[in-house]
Amino acid sequence: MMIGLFIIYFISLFLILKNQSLAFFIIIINILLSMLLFFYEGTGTLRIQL
Amino acid sequence: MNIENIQRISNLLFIYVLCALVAIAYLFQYVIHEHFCPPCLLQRLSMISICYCLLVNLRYGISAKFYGLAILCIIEGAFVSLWQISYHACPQFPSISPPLLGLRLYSWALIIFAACLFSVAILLILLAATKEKIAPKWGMGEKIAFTFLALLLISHIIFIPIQCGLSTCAH
Repeated sequence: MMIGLFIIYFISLFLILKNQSLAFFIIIINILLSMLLFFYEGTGTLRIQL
Repeated sequence: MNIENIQRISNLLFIYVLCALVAIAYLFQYVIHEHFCPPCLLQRLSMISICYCLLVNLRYGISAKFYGLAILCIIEGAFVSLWQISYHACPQFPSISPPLLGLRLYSWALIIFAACLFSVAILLILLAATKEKIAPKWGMGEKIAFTFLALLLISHIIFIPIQCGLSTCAH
């Protein structure tokens, strides 16, 4: 999961230099994906331990 | 030095400082055997996202839109580090990682995000004081920042599967 997010970020690094509107869209998608992974992986771990 | 140059240099310095902090956290994980955790990686990704916003500002000309996005990234990172601080504040889940200068890395991350928020606010005030639109520039400094970010991401992509495999990382 985490490795996938890092790969998406790596591809995004090249895409943000293509177009300003695309860059805006990609950064928002990256933020949303990170939050999604946080709720899935971070809080999931807490639920298991509780 | 005019205000446009100050803006550009501040953005560039901001990227270098954040990259250096991510690199220090990365080294800390391997040299002092910091306990591996997914929220730490998410905090690093938030710092890298802030760098993306500033890099886009340098590439296409500085605009308030990307400073706004940087603030969103800061809020996201601060939220994750605050969650981790409250998680380890519970006596059932004590942190086993060694402290750095008296504080754990996730506490440092929250301080860094607060400092980033302060810096972006100052940059927005400077932008409001600028009358002309700041022209885009893609010089050597920007290319070095781009390479630094790419190297940081590649090193994480190589070493994360070694530490926790392709499945969900254990906290």
